[in-house]
Amino acid sequence: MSRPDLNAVLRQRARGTGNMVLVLHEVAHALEALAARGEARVIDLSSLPMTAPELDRLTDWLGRGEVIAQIEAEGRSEAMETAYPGVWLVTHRDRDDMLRGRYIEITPLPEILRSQPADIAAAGRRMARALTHFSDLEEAS
Amino acid sequence: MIRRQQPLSERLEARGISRRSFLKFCTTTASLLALSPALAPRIAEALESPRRPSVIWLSFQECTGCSESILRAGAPSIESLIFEAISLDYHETLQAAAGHQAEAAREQAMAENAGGYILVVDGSVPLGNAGFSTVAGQSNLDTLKAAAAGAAAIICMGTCSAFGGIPYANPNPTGAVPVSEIITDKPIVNVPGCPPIPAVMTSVIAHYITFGTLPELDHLGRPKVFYGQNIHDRCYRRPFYERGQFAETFDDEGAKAGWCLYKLGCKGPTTYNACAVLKWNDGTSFPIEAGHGCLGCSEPNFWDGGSFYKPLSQGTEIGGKTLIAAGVAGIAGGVAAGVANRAKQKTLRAPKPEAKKEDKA
Repeated sequence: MSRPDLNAVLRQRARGTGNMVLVLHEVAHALEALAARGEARVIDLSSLPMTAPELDRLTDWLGRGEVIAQIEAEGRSEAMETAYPGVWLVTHRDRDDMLRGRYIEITPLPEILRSQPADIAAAGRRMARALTHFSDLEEAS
Repeated sequence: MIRRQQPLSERLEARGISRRSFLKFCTTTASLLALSPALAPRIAEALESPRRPSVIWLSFQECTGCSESILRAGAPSIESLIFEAISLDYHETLQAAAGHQAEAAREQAMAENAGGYILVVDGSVPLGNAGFSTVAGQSNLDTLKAAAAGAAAIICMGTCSAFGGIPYANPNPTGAVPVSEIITDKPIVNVPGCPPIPAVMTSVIAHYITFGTLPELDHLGRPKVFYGQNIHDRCYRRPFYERGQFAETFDDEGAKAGWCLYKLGCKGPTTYNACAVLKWNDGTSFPIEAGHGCLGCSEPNFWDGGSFYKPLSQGTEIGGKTLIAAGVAGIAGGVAAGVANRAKQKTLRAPKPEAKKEDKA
């Protein structure tokens, strides 16, 4: 067989599945719904096949906004506001740094960034215990 | 026997796992189940429920690869929550008990949870000599019938229990059959694969825990969520197929450029599984990404479906001995031998599981 033109191969890979534009239209519609009715939406990027170059182009196209938050919760997660306020790119990794999920969230604030009520309650108990200990130390000194 | 009554919130706190981490786990689990991430709170609620379904896991003619696979599920510290949400009352490989104590634990769990436990089976069941495969002196057939009688549903983990697998392959010396050819009055979920993807197995269990129902199934009793699309449609090499760009050998320039492996025998176009999406080894890659065609291991009779290295368009092969006979006896004799040999082969058919979607298992 003849040798393939590797540059042509790379160009074809970059063209990919064509699903990138579908996702972007879905984001645009969701953003309209968020602005009009306050409806939040999550798009799971694993639900459509896309090549790695396509995913890179998608994130490049969405750009970077004003906020990037890193979360350490059983592995690293990141919530990044894109150049379109209200459109967030959220990635979850496990403790071995393997990618576990990648989402586009159309919302004022991704849920993963909020302190959770159960954690808040546990924090209250922990702080009360710590303060008791602190008082004991104060009395001893 | 595993019994835990401690609330999930306390277990998480004791293990230093925040609620945020748990929420993250539920979100990624929803993705695995092809559910909207918005359903993550529902999954969290279900995992917090004190209801812990009893699970009895039986192993018959199998290689333990399915158990090995599920134990390799990623992030064990938090995915183990799935196992904490069930009461795994019998699993020969995992349980500490042995001998009569183990069998007594199984019988006790079956009696205490009669009509409500989940029966997981890996391995096919021999209908020939009962001595081909026994546990504690009881044939696999008798054990299966007894355990199935009180089960709410049966999950067949792996191609052997779902479709017969390698033991069922021609000439099938043990008379192996899949579970669905024996049990016809219970809902059966087939989770084929050799082995199945770990996340698929845990997710089917998670679905049952979350919704109290079995997932929607296809015509072969497989969850549509994972087996609804074929490998080919989800394959990143699909664009090369569309352009007619195929690797001809495993080391040619086309193979190096990542072209489609169809001509090298890839069974992706006829294989329904989630490998191209979920991948293996914590999402690292899958066989096609590693440069080898799909074997079609989640399909019935994949072992008898012809060479793994011939394209699908060439159909099912006849055996090498038959070809030699054909060469010696001439074309007419060869055709006759081929016909005779094919007549001896069991029909390459899909078993008909009595699988059905159950609203309330």
